[in-house]
Amino acid sequence: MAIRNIDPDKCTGCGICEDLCPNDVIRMNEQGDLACIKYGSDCSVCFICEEECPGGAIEVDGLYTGIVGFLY
Amino acid sequence: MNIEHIDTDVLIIGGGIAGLTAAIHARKYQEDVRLMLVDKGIPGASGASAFAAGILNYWQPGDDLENYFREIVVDNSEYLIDQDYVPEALRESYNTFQELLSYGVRFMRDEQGNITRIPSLGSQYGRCSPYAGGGLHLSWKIRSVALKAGTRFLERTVIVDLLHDAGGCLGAVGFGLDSNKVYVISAKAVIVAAGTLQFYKAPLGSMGAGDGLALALRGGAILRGMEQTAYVTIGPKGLGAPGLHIIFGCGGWLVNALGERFMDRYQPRLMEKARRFDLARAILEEWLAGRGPCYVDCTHLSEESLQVIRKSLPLLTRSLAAKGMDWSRDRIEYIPYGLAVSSVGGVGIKNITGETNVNGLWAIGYATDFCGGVMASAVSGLAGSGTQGRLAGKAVAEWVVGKKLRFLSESVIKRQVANVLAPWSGEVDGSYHRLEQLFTEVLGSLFREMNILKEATRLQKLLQDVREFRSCLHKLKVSDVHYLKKWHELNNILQLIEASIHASMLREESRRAHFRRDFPRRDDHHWLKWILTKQDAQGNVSAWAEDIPLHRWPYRPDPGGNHTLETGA
Repeated sequence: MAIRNIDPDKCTGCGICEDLCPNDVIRMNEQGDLACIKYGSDCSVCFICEEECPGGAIEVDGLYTGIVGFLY
Repeated sequence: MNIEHIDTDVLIIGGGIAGLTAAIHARKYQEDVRLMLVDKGIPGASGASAFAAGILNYWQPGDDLENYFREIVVDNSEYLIDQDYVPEALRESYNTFQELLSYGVRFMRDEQGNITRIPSLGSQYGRCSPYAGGGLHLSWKIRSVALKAGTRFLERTVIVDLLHDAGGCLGAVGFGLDSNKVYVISAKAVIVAAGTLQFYKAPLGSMGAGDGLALALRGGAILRGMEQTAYVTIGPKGLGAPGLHIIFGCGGWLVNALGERFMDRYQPRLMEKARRFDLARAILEEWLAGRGPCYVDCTHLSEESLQVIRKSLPLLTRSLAAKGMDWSRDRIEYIPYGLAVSSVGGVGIKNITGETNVNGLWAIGYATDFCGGVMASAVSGLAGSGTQGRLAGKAVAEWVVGKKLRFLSESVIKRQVANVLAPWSGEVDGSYHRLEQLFTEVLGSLFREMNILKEATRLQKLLQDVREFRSCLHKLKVSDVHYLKKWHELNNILQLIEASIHASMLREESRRAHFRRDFPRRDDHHWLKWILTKQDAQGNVSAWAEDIPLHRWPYRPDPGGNHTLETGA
């Protein structure tokens, strides 16, 4: 489902992902040295976090499982 | 939360192409103007601009202006667009394109180094150029230019309401997502550039909750075209939405379950290049006739065309690969994306500089109705937004010269701040689950009762639903700043749905992206009118109709014209 994982071994705590996420999905932990998926259900699969992470720590799944169009 | 007061000259709400361009040009015309730009994300990496669907629609010298003008008015907008705006915005779109080039935005080029141009979706005369980089490339470049121009950014800050009195707009109030502050911003002029209700909760979406429209509506601005609710698109089932221009521009087909191209039943002239909502309605009709599902089929395209598609839609191509699919081999199921509930309506701006009916308030980009509205053309979308940003930036920077800041009384400010924070003290502890559930219920109701196909009884039902939802929402308590943001977003969404219901009920005909099953024909005899909506101080929304001044303009329908939409019903 959208953003899947932030690898703590690769995360450098730079905070770029928290800054760039348009939907405020990612927040730094209390110590401020690790990014965490806090509001995962708001991920709209834009890939910005994964593309911009300098450490390659973030994995985004291309398969979206949120509300999509419908037919009736 | 602590309260921080900020003074500035020009406050721009929203950091997409419109807002950033406005900042750049305000600085260009007034070197010493104080500029502040607020965004609930990061300006340049949020909103629809950051997810631009791969192309820029623009006119250039040598293109057929007169026929494109006529097509925009007659075929695309169905007479709803201001005909003074169109030719000016067409010419200006070329300047916007040049401006983007000068910022270093890269477009695809052929082997000779010329910028690639392909036909625009929904148009015979429109042309567009695909970007060489993705959407973030575009908006990030403009961000850098705006920063260098000395714009003060207030990032990850949600604006909740405009500050206004009888004399007009005097600023805005909001809160930070990280700063633990409520901001009271006083400004001589405010430019709303915060986009529209579109792709909320949709994949690869901008999460546009229509904040700009909603706070403008509450700030006394008149909205126009809120009945145009079926401005929906089509997209790959389970994946992201953008890319139609490229796919159909390169020759892709839409086929049904029988493998037939079916657009000749609905839009024989334009086929797959018809307007997005025409494609959505067609797919819906194919399903209702038992010939669904429907697919995009690019398997017949040349390797060169396929490469253009893959390069300009890297994220979608990648998402397909994750499902084991490829454009060259597979038909991709496409469905109507009801979530692209962006009304082409918005703040009813008076002209290309985004002037509104409220003193001190301008609106640009998707927060506006693009002067009556039109889908995906050089006078709307990215080029239209960039153009309006440029011209509004200049106009507003000049307007504020000699103006003084005005301030509301302390008691009024206190009330506004309390309004921002009201959900902290709701009755019902909900936060995560209840709020998410409410979102799902609201969007579900919207799809069933108003999206694409409408009729009076279901609109009435939706109005009742909206009132109940609002009552639930106002009881919910949130205890987290992220959910405070979402609370206000849902509040805005409900407000815009209500405005759309009133407008939809009033227009008793079908036109452009407003389709009523109980009034399926277009009625040029009675309905060459705009539908306007506003909200009074008590929060009551009303809608009324105003004649479109077609007698002033070159294009108008044949007298007594009455025609059924090509999709039939």
